[in-house]
Amino acid sequence: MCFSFIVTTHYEKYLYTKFISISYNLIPDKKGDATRQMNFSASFLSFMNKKIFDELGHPIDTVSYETKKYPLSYHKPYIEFDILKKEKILKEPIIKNIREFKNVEESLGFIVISVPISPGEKWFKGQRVMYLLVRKNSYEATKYRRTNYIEASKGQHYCEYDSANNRVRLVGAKAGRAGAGPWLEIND
Amino acid sequence: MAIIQDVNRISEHRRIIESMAKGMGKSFLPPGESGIKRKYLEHVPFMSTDDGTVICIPKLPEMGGIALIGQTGTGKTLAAGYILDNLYYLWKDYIAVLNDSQDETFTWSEPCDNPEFIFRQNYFHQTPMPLPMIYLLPNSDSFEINEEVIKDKNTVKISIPFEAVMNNIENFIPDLGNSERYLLAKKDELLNVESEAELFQVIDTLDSGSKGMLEVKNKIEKSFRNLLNEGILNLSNITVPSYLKVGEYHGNPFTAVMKAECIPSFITSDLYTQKHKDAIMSYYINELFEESKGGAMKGTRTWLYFDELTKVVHADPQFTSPQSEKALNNVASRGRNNGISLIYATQRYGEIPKTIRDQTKFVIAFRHKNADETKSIQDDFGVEKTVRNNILTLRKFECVALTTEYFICYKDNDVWEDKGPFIGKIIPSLHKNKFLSELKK
Repeated sequence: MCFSFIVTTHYEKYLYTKFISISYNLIPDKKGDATRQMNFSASFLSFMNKKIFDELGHPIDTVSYETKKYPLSYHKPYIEFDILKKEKILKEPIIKNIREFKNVEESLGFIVISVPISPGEKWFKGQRVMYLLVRKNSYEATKYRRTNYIEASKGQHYCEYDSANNRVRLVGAKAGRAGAGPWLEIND
Repeated sequence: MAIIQDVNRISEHRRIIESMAKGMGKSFLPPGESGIKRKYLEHVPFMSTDDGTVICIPKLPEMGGIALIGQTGTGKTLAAGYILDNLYYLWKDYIAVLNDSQDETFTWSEPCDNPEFIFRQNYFHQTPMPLPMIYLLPNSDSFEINEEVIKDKNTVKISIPFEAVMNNIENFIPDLGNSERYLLAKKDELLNVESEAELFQVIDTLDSGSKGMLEVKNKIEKSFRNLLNEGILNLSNITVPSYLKVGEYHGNPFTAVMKAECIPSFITSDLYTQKHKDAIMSYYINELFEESKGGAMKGTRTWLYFDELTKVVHADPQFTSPQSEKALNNVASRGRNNGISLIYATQRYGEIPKTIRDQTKFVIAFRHKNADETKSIQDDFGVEKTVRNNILTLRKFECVALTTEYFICYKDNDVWEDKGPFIGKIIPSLHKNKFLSELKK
């Protein structure tokens, strides 16, 4: 039932199928029902060597303090990164707004293209295209129509240049669902 | 010393190979070496955007409130569950669930069993994990719970201490009027009683024979009988404790359970039908605040979680519980400095009292029904009209993250602080969710 909501793209569906086939035993129900038979709180209290007593000093009735270790453990969240690129902590951004797309092309080497989108992808009523900031010599730049002055003249779309981190992004209603496109590094 | 020299030599060797590889634009590494390394997250992740940016709630010295808002069935509880899982296990903070009105925390002590959610949790390489829940049931004559549900759960029935009733007599017996001062004159004697019979003996002494005192005595006696009959007050039943003990600590059941490194969940499904709901709820909130302020938590932050907060407090005075609202306003405004914060879910953000909204620093907004409901979000977080409109078209498990502080963002090898807003998909809780389990059946 929920399948279509979380797993949306074909690639995610492929990953999901692969994930299920290789790690079926991650699903607690499939681990011989061990997690169902054990009381986690009781096992946890025993593991932490803690006991809860009532006012008269009797351990509270319903906790049996199981000594058996619970078969699951918490894994800290992590992401993976490429050590060859090194981790970079970005500085406090210094933002300059560039309203003329022509200046973005000349000074930074980026152009704005207009990409048609399907009704299922649009995020506001009547939307037909989305704007993307791309490098002027990239494949996308040759494939899609470039937009120079259309929206910029109305002041609806502009570029944000972060001089502290040397990156740029497009801001505006059609730039992204959150009102801005992703940050692009100028040096890349 | 030799080991240090070896390590230095290996690091130098590696640095040279890495710089050569980088120069050639290759991902070349010595045999057996992996170019992919793990970066453990110190901040609490809760969503990822379409372009792969990971958004985290930063660990600040003074945390404000966190709100999860949106229509029912859009993923609020799942997202709140995941945040709570990580607040508990990653930051090792204390958590108290103060209004489980739909008995949904009973499944929190079991691991998530939905394959699709497990797949999504794998985004941060996490696996299902339950929470150590201890369920606190209010002592009440009308309390009914499915025995089948609680048979393998750790439940404790708790009652309000007599001292707390006497100290807040105007909340527990609001219609006493002028009779209250006669009752308070006997407060010291009343606090020493050990049984119901002794209580009524002291109340009998109120009738001094002078005019009108018989009515006063009868009124007070009737009020106390009601409290005893409803199970709010407990003087003789030792199986329903008012205090619990863990190690050196002896006091409030919520604090005691948290000191045992567990999570107390107050089952309030029955409480909402009771007239004493406000007095009971405000008593526990105030107690937790006072204990946190007094240093009982020893520097560990406490999160008070409320699902459907509008059932406890409401911007409209007609629907609010005044004492609970006062207590929560206190937590919201003074809690930041005293190590106690709120995390709540609600369908209507605009109906949350302004004091609580003002102290809410992070909002995770799910789909809303109409534009009016998003107006207060726009007012409080100054979002653009586009974003406000996008809140109305979000899909299930999609949300907009807003803040008055900043989020920590990770993408590839970059880490930065950003105010957002961000749109993305949530990560579901590591524990089991009641409603989705029911759907599966």
